[in-house]
Amino acid sequence: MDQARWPTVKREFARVQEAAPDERASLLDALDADVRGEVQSLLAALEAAPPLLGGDAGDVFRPGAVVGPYRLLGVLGRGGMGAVYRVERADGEIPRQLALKVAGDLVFAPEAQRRFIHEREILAGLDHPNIVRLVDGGVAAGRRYFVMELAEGTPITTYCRERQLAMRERIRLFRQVCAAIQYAHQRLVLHRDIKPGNVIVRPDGQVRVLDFGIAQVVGPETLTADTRTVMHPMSLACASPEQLRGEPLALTSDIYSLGTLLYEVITGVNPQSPPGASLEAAMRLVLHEAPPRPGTVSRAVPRDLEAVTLKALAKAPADRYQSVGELDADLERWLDGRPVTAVPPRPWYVVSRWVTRHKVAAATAALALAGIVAALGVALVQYRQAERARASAEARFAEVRRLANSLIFQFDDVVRTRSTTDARQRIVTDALQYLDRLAAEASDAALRLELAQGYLRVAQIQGNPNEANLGNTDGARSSARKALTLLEPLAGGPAAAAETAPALESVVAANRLLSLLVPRDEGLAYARAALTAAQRRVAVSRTDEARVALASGEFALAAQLSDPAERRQHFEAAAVSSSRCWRNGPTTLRA
Amino acid sequence: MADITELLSRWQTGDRAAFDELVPRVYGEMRAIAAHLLRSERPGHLLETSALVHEAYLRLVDQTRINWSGRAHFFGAAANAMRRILVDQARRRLAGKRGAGAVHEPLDLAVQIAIEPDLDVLALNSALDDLQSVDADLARVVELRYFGGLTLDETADVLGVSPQTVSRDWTVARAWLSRRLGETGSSAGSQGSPH
Repeated sequence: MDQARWPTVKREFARVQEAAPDERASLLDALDADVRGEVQSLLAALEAAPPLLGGDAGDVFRPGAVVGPYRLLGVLGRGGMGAVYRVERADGEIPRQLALKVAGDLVFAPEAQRRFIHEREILAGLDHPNIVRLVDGGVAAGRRYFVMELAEGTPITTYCRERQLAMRERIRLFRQVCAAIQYAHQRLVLHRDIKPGNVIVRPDGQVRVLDFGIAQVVGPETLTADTRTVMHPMSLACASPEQLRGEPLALTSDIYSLGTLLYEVITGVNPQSPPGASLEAAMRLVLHEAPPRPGTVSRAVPRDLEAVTLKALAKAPADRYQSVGELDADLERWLDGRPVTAVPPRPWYVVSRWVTRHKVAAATAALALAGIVAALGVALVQYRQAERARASAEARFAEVRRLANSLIFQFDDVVRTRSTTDARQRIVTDALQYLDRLAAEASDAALRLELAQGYLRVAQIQGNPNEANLGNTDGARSSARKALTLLEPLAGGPAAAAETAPALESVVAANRLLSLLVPRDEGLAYARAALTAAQRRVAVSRTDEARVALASGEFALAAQLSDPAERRQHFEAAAVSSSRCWRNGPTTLRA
Repeated sequence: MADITELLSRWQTGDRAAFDELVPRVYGEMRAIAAHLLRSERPGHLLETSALVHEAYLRLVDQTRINWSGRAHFFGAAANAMRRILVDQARRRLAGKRGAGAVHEPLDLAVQIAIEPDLDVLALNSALDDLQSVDADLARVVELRYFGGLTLDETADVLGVSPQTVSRDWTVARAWLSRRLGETGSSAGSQGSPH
């Protein structure tokens, strides 16, 4: 019957169905009787459709309609997760306009509803000036909705472009985003969809982060299930590699997404979706290819900011900042003109930052004699020590972990990213078991060095007074001594420089650590041993790094000595050593 | 045996036989993926079909060797495979209820795909077959959106039409299916012919 008529019926049905209710009658009247009958029966069937075949939210939630106590004023946005409307209280109870979000458009109602309720719960638990606030919630026409603060403004990237903000203003703005995400992370909420459209800047310059629609609460009980759930909706432009692969997500995934946002804020270009790229090309970019250096995209980007951005965008989570706080701290350092941790601490770099910051002091320093040069060297050395401790924490652990064929160091995401005292304790226990077992049969020089570095790192975590430690001085001493035992044959012989230098570096570090962990008179012996090793290191490897370490060794020894003459001798030696490096600095290190 | 990416390429260039080989392969692989995912999830966790289809795409298709239209073809095949999986699952459940001897396929023990609890998959499948003979375009929209779990925009992408067209077709299809299900009564679908 209706096969021939079907195209007409289909067309007319769509026309009538989309028309305003008061126009439908006249449209229907104009149709042939046969067609009209068909169209009417389809309209009736649509009205009576079972929930599965139920309509999109747009069928019920139309501008002008009143939903609960709210009047709908217009559509703010639609997406896979539902629609968001601009609303106001019909009774004028709340003078401001608000945003009402309703789930819809997803055919699979149970999942959509679950996720929707989930977002509402997450928002209810977050109270931060840079995160949109939940106001109300309810059910209307069989659909759940919730009402939140209306974030009126423009996406952060547009805001920066339109106002042509200076780099410093952009970074200040971005730090508000960091504040919001850091707050959420502290409550173990992963945002998972950080992108320009979800970061709105109001006309007064206040940032609001919104859309916690696919946010996730990270916790022991959800870690194995929810965070692993495959392929949640996400935006490719800001997705992390692990997100794209559907792997379990840690807080570091949000840090990557913050990196994509920061990249776009400072360069104006998204690092992962260059215009015209195919989906496959974009996926390849996310998974394998480092983005172009920001400085090559926009010349306005300083080197330090470039380094910060690229660190956040590292493909391997372990290479990124491990918390939003670290990223934010680097941005603050940049604003203050201090060295950022994302740049490897080369002496000249640190000195140049110091000079920028203290122009007057630098002028004095240039005039002053060895004492001031030494002071500079010490500042530099202290900086290096703190930095080395942190950087080597990651690097050494990466190496040891590789050796550990993954079993021992398989601690879960929460532990890895939050690194509580308990977690560190566990790492130390596991690592020591592993190291002890391997050390018993270590004959190969490379492995001995690797193991010594592992012991040294464990010792630092156990008791290095210069960083967060476990307060286990006995354990730290024992680990450092094990490192020295392993290093002895490596550092002592007349081996080639390339092999000896790293061993000597570790000998210096182990002795230095021990000198801090034993009584003063005993410590002196370790400080001297450290100095001897540092001198030998300079002899085999004439690098600035080695010279800085030597200066640091001289200085550390001098600080522990009580005999004034001997003390001055070492202070002066420190000055000579660091001034040599200071003089070489600009020419050798800048190149 | 040709891999899935290769079959997709052949299908794209007009080789119908490749499609016939492709769908059962995708079907099998998707069941395997579903079973695997469910084993690694907490018990009782429901899989979304859209998640499964997207996951299958990432796992089965070498994205460096396939272009945009190949992706559309894949989603087409995957939605079709998903439909078969759901229909098979519903048949086995029905057989179990009737005491026709429980059919213990490993997947059946594990897979619970998230569907509306009230939905009669078999009735819908049968009505969809009928719609297919009236308007194949509409049936395809339903297959992609319902069984593939694709959103409006994704469906539009796959079919190469505007989201507005998909939205309109989706509304017409819902009305048509709703009328059909009303006419036949939901039990009639149980005897629906295998797709």
